[in-house]
Amino acid sequence: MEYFTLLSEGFVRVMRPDLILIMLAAIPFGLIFGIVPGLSGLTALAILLPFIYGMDALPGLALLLASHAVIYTGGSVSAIILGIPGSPPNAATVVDGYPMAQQGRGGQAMGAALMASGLGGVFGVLVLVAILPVLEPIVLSFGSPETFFLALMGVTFIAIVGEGPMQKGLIAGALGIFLALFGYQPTTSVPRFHFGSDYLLDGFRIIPLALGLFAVPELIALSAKGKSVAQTGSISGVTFGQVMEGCAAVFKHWWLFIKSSTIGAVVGIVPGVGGETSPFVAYAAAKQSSRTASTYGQGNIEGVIAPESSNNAKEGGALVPTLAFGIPGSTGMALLLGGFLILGLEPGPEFLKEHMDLGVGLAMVVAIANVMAAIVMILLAKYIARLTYLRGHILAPLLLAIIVLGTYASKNNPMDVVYVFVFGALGYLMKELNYSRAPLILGFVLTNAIESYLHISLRSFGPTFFMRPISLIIIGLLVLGLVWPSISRRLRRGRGA
Amino acid sequence: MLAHKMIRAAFAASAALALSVAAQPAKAQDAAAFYKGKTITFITPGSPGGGYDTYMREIIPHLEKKTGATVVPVNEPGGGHLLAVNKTYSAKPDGLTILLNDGEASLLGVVLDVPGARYDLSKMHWLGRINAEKRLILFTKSSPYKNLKDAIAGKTVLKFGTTGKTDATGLATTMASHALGLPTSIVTGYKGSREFVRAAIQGEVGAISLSESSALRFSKGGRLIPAGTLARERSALFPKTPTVFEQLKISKENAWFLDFHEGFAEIGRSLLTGPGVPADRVAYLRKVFKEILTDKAFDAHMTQKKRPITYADAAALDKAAKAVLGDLSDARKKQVKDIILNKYYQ
Repeated sequence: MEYFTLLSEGFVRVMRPDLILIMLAAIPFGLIFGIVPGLSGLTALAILLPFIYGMDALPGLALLLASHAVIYTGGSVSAIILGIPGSPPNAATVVDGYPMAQQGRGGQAMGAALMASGLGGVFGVLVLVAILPVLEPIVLSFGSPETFFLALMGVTFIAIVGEGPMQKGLIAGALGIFLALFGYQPTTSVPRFHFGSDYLLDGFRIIPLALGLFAVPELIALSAKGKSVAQTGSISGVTFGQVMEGCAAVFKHWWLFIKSSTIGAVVGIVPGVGGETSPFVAYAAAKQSSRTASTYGQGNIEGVIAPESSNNAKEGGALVPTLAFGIPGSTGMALLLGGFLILGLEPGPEFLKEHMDLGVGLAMVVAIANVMAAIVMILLAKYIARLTYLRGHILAPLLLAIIVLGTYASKNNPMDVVYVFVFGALGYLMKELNYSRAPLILGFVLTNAIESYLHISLRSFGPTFFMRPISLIIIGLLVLGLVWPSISRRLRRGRGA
Repeated sequence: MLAHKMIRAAFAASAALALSVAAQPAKAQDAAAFYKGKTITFITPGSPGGGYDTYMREIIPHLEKKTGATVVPVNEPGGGHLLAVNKTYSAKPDGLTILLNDGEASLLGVVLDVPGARYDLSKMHWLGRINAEKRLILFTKSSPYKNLKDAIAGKTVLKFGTTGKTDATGLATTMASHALGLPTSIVTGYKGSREFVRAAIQGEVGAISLSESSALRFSKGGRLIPAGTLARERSALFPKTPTVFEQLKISKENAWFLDFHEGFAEIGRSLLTGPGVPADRVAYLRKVFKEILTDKAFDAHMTQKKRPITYADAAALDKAAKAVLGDLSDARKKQVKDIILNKYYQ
């Protein structure tokens, strides 16, 4: 009863006029940073961080969290209408969202993505709030072996993520793993393949990689044809009705939504797997269990709902280790942690005992921001879609300028811009040769976690490190995931016979 | 005639002295005038929101007020905190680029010949130290040992968690293990001190080394047990925890490794500018930072933010850096490298 009182008090605390105003200012900021390719949530947080010096705890953190929580909501729109992920995790949405837009179903895709994002964000918060009183034992039950197996599970999805033949998916995934090996090795600190370059000491960065792979090929296509995105496909005018139809699809596929949001929240809870992984894993899990798996990659609405619901749900999950241990559950949370410290707060086990009300308040901020952002974007979707009517020779240079600026702004490093074009050439080749680019990103984001946590597990527990209850459950799920498609095929054949 | 010459020489000498004395404040005034309206680039290897970043952003308004310059903060993480040093080292020698340095990383870069360390610290100018912290060894509840004496006498391997081989956590663990003769095996690869604290609480490792402020934060509730301070004097935050020198009989040879480590810690979060900067501007910057960092109100403000100031001047930093790098013979350097990079990773 006391806990529910705390929840209602947290809600009342957030519904203050000044906090609502702060959120209203932060949400458009986050959405714009999400929509513009290259300007990720990290950039938004880095820009906002200096503004919280001197602010009170809840308003300061609400400013950061509200803008961060809605980044992927904005990013889904660019992924669908332009085929360019607004933020790296939105790359999974491109696979089916962009084909939908080209088939004239952009309104439905946007509706589905926005509704899945908004509700996914709320789902993540519900998970957080439900386990708030027992955060510590939950986080403590996931050690390095469990993190390793979760990351390994993600790798098994490489062959499933994305369109096209499985062999090509595996090759793309392997290339992603190879690219992740550049720079300092995480356990020995020995730099690999750096060729004497300072830039390569830290390895390749995700933003130039994701933008190069996805954006440059689209820009080349737009420039070469000179036509608008709408003319290259068969996009008709996006109507509010279409958007609402997309929103309704999320409720129609409610089980897929729950499953994908759960994946997002769990990946968020386990620090180390990397939040970028969750949309790809959710996409692969959806495809693996779908009856319409053969149409994935060709504009299946399930392929939009799955990554987008998990994308936003993971931020609620990622708050769990951030609040419970001060260990960031995603890269965005690492910056948010900086915000806590600036405000003189120290997240950790003692923090929640003293500031449980603040924890509840932050969860509420995430939920409210997600709902508000989804509403704003659903109302604006029709107008944003008009971008697709700009002719190629106007849109391509405009997007190129935004991408170059966005990439540069992420780290203030001109070499990042150079690598956008290097990876752009790779992306163009892959597109021409019909290799899916999403598995490359998945391989890239998981390699570091696998390498580190396998090493740590072996050093800490020896070769029997997997003999732990949760590790064994994850191994079981991993094996089940691998054999389930053939089992279900046989079962279906058996029923058919 | 001779007397006349002597009088002339004496007059010339006194005129020269008078001129040079008058020139000092004039130079200082020149330097102060130089900074007015200019843009200073303030670089830190820390990411936004972290400790380095917080110190930098708290100092900036005061630096702008005192110099009349606009100060642009630049976060330059990467290369194990060495890219920021490279950038400062190769900046135009006009005194408009200042670095908030990670002392341990920049010294280790030199000692270990780390790829990417493209600077010569002896040519750079120390401007002052913001903060330095002592380090402690902490045991976990699941550790096979309860104190250092038992650990040294024991045969069970004591697993330490660290973030990397070539950073402050790796340095403290290897130097202490070698000097004290601990049966150490290091598990490295954790993404930060918070993550190996989590691993320690979960029992993945039996011991860790932390800076005194982190140790205070994470040992609350008895989760981690402070076993000893790695310094000649006790930590002000852990007055009841004896130093390793108080607890154990340490030979002169082994004490060298502990002092060597303390020399690194002494540099701490310090301020630097690049080689070739005119002496008057260096002197001016030193004066400005001293005023900011010894201001009582600023000190109280930072203490309240849990970011304490432990100021040291350029001369003290120069001495500490020379103590680490100056006395290092080739044979000793080889031995230190082997201990840091290989000994506890078999």
